[in-house]
Amino acid sequence: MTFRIRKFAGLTVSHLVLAALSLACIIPFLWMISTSLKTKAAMWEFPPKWIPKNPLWHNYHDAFTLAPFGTYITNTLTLEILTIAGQVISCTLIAYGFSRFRFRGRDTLFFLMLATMLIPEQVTMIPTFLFYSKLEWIDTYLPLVVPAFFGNAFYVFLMRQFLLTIPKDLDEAAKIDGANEFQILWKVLVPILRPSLTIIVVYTFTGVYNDFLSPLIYLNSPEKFTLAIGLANFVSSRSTEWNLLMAASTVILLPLLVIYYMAQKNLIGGIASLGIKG
Amino acid sequence: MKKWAGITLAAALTVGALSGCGSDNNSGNTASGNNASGGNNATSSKPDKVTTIDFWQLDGTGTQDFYVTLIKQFEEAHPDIKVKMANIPEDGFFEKLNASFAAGKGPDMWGGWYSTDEFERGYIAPLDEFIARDNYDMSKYFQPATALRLQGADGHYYGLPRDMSNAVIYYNKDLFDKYGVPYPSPDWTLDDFHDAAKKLTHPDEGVYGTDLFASDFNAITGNPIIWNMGGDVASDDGKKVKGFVDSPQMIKLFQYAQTLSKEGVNAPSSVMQTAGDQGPFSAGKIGMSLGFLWGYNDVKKATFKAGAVAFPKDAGSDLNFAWTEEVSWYMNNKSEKKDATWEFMKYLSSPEVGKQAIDTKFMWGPPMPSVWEEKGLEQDELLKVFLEQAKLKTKAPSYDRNRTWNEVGGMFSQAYTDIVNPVDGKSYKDPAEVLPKVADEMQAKIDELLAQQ
Repeated sequence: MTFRIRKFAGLTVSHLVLAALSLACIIPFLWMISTSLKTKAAMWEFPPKWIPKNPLWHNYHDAFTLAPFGTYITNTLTLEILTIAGQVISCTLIAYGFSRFRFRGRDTLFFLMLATMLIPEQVTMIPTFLFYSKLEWIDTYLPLVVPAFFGNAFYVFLMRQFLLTIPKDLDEAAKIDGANEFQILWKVLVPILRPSLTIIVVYTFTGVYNDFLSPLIYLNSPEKFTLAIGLANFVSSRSTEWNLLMAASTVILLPLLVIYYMAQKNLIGGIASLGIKG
Repeated sequence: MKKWAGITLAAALTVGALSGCGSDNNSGNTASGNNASGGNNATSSKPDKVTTIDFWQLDGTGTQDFYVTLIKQFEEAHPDIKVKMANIPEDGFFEKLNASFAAGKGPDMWGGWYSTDEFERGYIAPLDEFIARDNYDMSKYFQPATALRLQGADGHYYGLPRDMSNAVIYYNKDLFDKYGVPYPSPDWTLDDFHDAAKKLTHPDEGVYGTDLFASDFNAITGNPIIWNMGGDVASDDGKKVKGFVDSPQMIKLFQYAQTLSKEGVNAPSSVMQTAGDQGPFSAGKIGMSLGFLWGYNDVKKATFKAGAVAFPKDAGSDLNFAWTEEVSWYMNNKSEKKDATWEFMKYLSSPEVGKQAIDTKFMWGPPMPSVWEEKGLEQDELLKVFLEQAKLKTKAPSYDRNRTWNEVGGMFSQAYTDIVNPVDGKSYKDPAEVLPKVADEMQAKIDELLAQQ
């Protein structure tokens, strides 16, 4: 009895804590939606009103007609598809190599690759810019997409660690059946790797979606701009249309929510099943 | 087969480990354009047919349609010039600008402010030869503001002004009426300001006397109060802050700001994400606020009657400075299309465009007094005050005197926060103690930066 009460109390407390935490997470979202429906003057009311008296739905219309968001969306999606393809292909291949093949200097190479994570982006920004500008790649998507086809230290690390947990017996079984290295990777390992591939897809998606500085620096033509740049243009020290900014942000957030929702199962569960019988 | 696959993967690995540092296979597209940064010939470029100039600006989304119209008009009048405009977000504009300049690929022309970095790196073209060639009259702009703002330390002009804005006090007439406070007069003092702020403050109604002391920019570097006290934030060349940041006038101003903050007549930071005409003032909750011409449209749209008045002065002061800022156009020193760029610059800074800006929802306040008079702007109760201010003496804003301010401005802001708006329940610090220390630290940093040059 006491045990049950204690258990019940424990559950209640943990639920209360979780509820408080989720409330803290969701308040900025609600605030954003609320502001997106207000006039510029009503935004500053104190104490703030959560539900505006006359919600201004046309803020949404205004925000999306003020700037060519259709173009921005197309551009961002193009970048997304190319970058995700690049990361998934390159990171899988590289991680496969690091985890399944033995060759001289493999581990040195691996740690060298990991060491690149220590260099902050700001340090390499100008040199890489100069490099791409020598290639005449400025104002193209190439500097944003091509690096994705050459791996990413963190994702390679993630995939390698995951691959190391998959027993080699699977590879050997496939080899006996006559599979070559690519067939082993593609037919046997990739299906098991789905959870970590999902992680790469989701992280890359949000990374590209939120990336502001790289597209800003490499792209000059407005017709090539991405959503992040379009959104930032609402903010200016001379005049900021907060309500329109919030309306645009609300809509632009939706794809991220959808992606997370769809990937949720793989992101949380994933690693449990490893396709081998005890 | 296995060997082959292994070699391929090893190759992929090597390249992957170098994270994309050696991929020149893709440059098969006619890479013959050797337009590297060598071109030093200033005026030799004659447009064969059509010259396309790159133009970057950092204005908000609301201004873009106006720019598109202006460019269309310009291209119709100049069939040999095409303008390729990019609207770059302000947040990140200067990173982009400097990265492009470092690669020798900057735009031919850009608009903006805080140009000291670009100036000292030699990215901005002097305009004297164009001004002399065209007999271009610089006295048509507000002076001495334009000269102070756009002449380099060498006396050459480095830009043309797009607009002009002063700093004034906007006040909410409805609140003054409601609480029976007399409207401020142009010759009011800091004590009058304090008095009015106290009478206007009613926290139970969410109303505060002012939000002027929200930040060091609103309170000190973005207005003329300290100048009219006989003090300054830095020397005229921006190289000395010791003796300025810790001057008796500065300490007095900090004490004044601290008093208003302690008394609660300055709106607490919980009320403000933004202060000035962009913030809660426009919602009618603040009695008196920092006002720029850029916020004029918001104030006009507000649901209350607004007034404008010059900044209050320290009792007994006979100084009469105004704070003036101009958004400006700059030309790339390495541009190979300087003639076309100059044409476009002149056009954007012309009286015609100035008039059009007024007619187009008052996009900006033109930088030439003639347009203000021709358009009868002094009839407007608010604009009248700006025009009066524009004719006064002024100084260059502190951030515009020397690029070192970008590096030390943060220390000044931190000191301001510690003294006037302490956060997280910290206690108010004494300006007489803090400012001399901060002045030393700022000066040391400035000296270090200047020595590196």
